[in-house]
Amino acid sequence: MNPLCIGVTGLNATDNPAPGVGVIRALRASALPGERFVGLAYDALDPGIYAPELVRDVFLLPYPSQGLQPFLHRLASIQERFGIDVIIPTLDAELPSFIDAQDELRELGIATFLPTREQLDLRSKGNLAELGRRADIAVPPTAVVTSPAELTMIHQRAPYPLFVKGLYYGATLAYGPDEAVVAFHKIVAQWGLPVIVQTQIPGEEFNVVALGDGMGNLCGCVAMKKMLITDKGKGWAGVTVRDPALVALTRAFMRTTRWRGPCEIELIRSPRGGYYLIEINPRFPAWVYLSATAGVNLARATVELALGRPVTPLGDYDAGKMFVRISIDQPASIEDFQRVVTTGELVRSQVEG
Amino acid sequence: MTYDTSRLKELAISENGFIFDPMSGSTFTVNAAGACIIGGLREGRPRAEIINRLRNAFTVEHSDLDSDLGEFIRLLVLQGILCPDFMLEQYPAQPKQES
Repeated sequence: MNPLCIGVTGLNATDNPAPGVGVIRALRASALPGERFVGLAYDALDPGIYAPELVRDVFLLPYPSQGLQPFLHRLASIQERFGIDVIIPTLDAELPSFIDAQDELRELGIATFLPTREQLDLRSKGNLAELGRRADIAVPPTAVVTSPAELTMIHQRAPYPLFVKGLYYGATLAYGPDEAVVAFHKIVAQWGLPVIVQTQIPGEEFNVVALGDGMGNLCGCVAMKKMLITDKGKGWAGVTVRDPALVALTRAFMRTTRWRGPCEIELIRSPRGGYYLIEINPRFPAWVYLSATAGVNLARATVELALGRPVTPLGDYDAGKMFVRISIDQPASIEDFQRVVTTGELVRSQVEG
Repeated sequence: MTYDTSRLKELAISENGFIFDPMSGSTFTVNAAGACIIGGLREGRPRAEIINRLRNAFTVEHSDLDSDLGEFIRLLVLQGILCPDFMLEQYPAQPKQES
């Protein structure tokens, strides 16, 4: 078996980090000799580009908003030189492009393991309440609104305090109609319509990283309780937990959607007991490396599934494994930065003849 | 009287009284008396025996160990480690009636 070359996107590593760095670390933890990693980034200052111990070769990709053809053309040219076997996309915004391009990528020899467009829609914020009903998972009172006038009576459907959320990103807590209207306009200006409002459920935040086989089965999952949360609501520290209710809930999601690929399920545990589904992200979370340290390497399993290799359901994981995120100043050379800016790539390995 | 100790047995307890609840992800620290009580509960010991253990292990003056134990159990219930209807039989234990 030839050593693999695996491409991973999302090398941003700020206080709202992309999952790419975590995915690569998990893959490195289980890498066979000779395995290579290619970083696929969108910005010349994505910090992961400048960590050669993580990824030696990095290429900038055109933003998905530029259309599928430039995106495919770029990947084809990288493929010609590097022979990528598998790509794991890790960003919400690029997923539709990768899903639409997966047949062409397969023809190029690049395997992926992604959800379908329909599955992507099923877990969207606008459809979360319906998904909750179908999977028998509790969801906070939620409503989809398209005009500020709807907010005057919104408390009848979703009591205050509530989060005003963009369809893809952003959430502002509102304690009354005035604040909700301000938040509505802010979200619309940034992310467009519709806007989702969701009653705040007080409680502790739990996340599950999981991998579905596309046939309704759960390949493996790891649940984590957030121990420290940033002002952006991101987990800065967490600990793995083993609650059978979380696994059952994850299985129900897989069964209902026949989810194919990685995902992150975000939940709140109410002090009165029971979990509420807040959001489902259709890709690995930034903390995915924790799954590898807890004994269930979901990133590696994704590679195997993408290559069509059988993956037996991953076993139990260790509870009590912690992560604490750190910020470091990564030394970088101006020459490397210049190469990324001018040529759109930074090739440190000797792969090319 | 017996009680379910499975949830208590899941707790990871270090020698210095640090407790990790793998189900909820919560962490606690307890002093030696708290660790003694949790140890007794994990073994499924009756109220009287746990109180005797406390009396033997610590210097107790004018302390109502029975109500202290009750208060500690209430905290464990609040933290979700013991179920809300958890009961230890009252101290002193009532002799069983022969049928």
